[in-house]
Amino acid sequence: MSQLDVAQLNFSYGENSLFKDFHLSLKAGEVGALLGPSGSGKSSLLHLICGFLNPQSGQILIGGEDVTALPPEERNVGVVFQDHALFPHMSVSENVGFGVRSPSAERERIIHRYLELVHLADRGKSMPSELSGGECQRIAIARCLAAEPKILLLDEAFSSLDEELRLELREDVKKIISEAGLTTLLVTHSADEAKSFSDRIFHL
Amino acid sequence: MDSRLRGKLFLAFLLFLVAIPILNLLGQLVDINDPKNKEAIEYVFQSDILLTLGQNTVLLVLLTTVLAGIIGLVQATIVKLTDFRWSKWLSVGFILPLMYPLYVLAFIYDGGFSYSSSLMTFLRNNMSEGLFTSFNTGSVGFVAFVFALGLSPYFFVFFMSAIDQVNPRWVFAARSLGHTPGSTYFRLILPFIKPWLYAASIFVSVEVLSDFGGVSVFGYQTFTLAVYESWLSLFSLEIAALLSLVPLTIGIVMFFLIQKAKVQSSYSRFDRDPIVLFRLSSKAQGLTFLFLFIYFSCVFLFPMLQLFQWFLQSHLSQSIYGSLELLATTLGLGLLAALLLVSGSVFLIYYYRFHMSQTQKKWTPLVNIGYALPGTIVAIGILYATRWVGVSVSGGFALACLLLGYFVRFFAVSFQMLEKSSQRMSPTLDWAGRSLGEKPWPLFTKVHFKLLRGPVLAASILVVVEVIKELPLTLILRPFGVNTLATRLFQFTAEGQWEEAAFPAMLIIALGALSLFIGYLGFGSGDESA
Repeated sequence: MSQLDVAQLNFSYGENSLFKDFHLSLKAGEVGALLGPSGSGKSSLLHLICGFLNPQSGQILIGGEDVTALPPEERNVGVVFQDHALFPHMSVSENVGFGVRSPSAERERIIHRYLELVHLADRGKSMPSELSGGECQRIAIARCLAAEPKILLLDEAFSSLDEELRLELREDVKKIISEAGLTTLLVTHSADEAKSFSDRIFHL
Repeated sequence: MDSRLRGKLFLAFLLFLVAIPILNLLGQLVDINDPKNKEAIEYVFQSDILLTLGQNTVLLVLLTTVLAGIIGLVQATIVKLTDFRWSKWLSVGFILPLMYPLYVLAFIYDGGFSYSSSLMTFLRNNMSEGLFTSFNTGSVGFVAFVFALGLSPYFFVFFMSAIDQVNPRWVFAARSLGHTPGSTYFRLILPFIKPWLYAASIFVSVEVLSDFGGVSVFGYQTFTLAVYESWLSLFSLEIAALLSLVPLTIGIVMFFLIQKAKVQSSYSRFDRDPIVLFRLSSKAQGLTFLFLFIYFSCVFLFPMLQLFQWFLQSHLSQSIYGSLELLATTLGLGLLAALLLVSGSVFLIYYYRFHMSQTQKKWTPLVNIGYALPGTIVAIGILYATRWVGVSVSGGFALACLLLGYFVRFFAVSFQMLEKSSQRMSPTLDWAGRSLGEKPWPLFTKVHFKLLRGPVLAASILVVVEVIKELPLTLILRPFGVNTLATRLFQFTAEGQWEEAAFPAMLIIALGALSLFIGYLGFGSGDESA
């Protein structure tokens, strides 16, 4: 069964049509990569899936539920951005716990679990400004996973890192999402990254 | 003499001038056994004057800050976080109340809500007679309301700058993590803008604490008013100086808090994408229009109509001629002050750029401390200092004292404008010139000063306008018989002659708008020097 279905999607900015009867489907636990050059609409598609943009027509289904008309906060989609978008005025723990809706003790346990998962259990009290680029990206991933999303979207999530760190983090993230069985869509402009990270590649 | 030593001496001289009123007021504490000081201490501590003034001042500062903060926050939210159609116009409109000095807004509201005013007569005849008969314009709530109208732009500007630094992707992240627009606003945006909230609160508190004209019009007793009245009515410079210690200390603390806030409010900038956190429904649009109507009625419609009505009721030719005559005197005073202050600032910029060590550069911001001190307190400090000289404060000496007062209060206005423009000039400009064989001073005059011509003009205009608007310093230190627009306005309002006060007020507002245009809307900021 598909976990993410984008069906007959039409979207344009003014008169500039970006998607015409676009279709994309990912099975539960599958990892897809959206490959295309700058300006091809990769990030716009993620914004459509998240609900930050609304299509002119078509459907977006997550876990079989039609979410096309739902606001972003009701879609349960996790997004990791290229610049990690950590909240600079909150500690690492506060960032990771931002999307967790559990009572205090349970919340702390969840935060700790996901910090451990990204190998940063000892950095809970640090501020984002005290972390390296790779650590920030790990925290951003932990923040998404802690909210237990139905699907995970990675928007050029490894692009801002240097080569060595990128490879290391990519492997780590791949392992984490594989263990969690999380349906994931990676947006990238690198064919190598798309091949090594995903089960399927969609070209734009 | 070595240039570095000259730079050091020049900075020391400027700091000495700024320190004259401050150190003289603090000096009383050393001279505690002086009989006059003893008498003043007994008077102040045996009455409950300190407690009353303290309570009044704190209450007014708190209420004004809270009210102005709420207004500023609502305004910045409408402009920056909604899809409201006229946001661009509002971003200018919400700043405009800064063109009113507080005492002008205060006298319009005091007169406009007095028993015999057209508005109150209309309200008594058509609505509740009882309510509008006993309306008290001197109540802390009303004073704070009027002050908040005049000072809310500070909050607006700070919040705008804060929200500008919100990365749109933080909002995307928060929404995708399950937060609604409201929850994103309260849990993400508001905590993020806290440093700006603190900074704006300090600015507004300083303005309220420094105000003399506004509280004087309303007859609301705060420290600045009590200091003035002690000097004027009790003929006691000692009591005035003693009472001055409280606002002086608060002013100094506030100055250092402002310096600290500058550092704390530095987050990294991001390319701006519009953030539409709230899409306004038709009901929300209606509420926004209602807010805007009430706000603009309070800050523009009512004050302007009231002023115009009084103006028509005044002795027109006498009022216009008298005011223009005063404007000429005031302009002369302002130009003299601008010449001194801007020249001082240019020299300081030169030494700062070419000859100062890092330690000296750290001391330089102290020359700005006077801007955080109330004019009344600076004036009393200077009067207190003249006791050591033993010359009566009149004629040329009074003029020198007045110019010293303007220097202490407004050096920051000219120096900060020039400093901002100077910082935009890359150090490579200096290195290139020096490597081509130019010595610092000729290089500065040929290159830097030419690039600074726009900001020098802008700083001069700002100083002139500040001097024209300035009230307590001028009132206390002016040479006998010399009046400015502000002092004449003060006399008219003290006698309840609202009609005669209208035209000078209109002139002051027009000049305030000019100053606002230069200071906030970017004219003369020296972009050409970037």
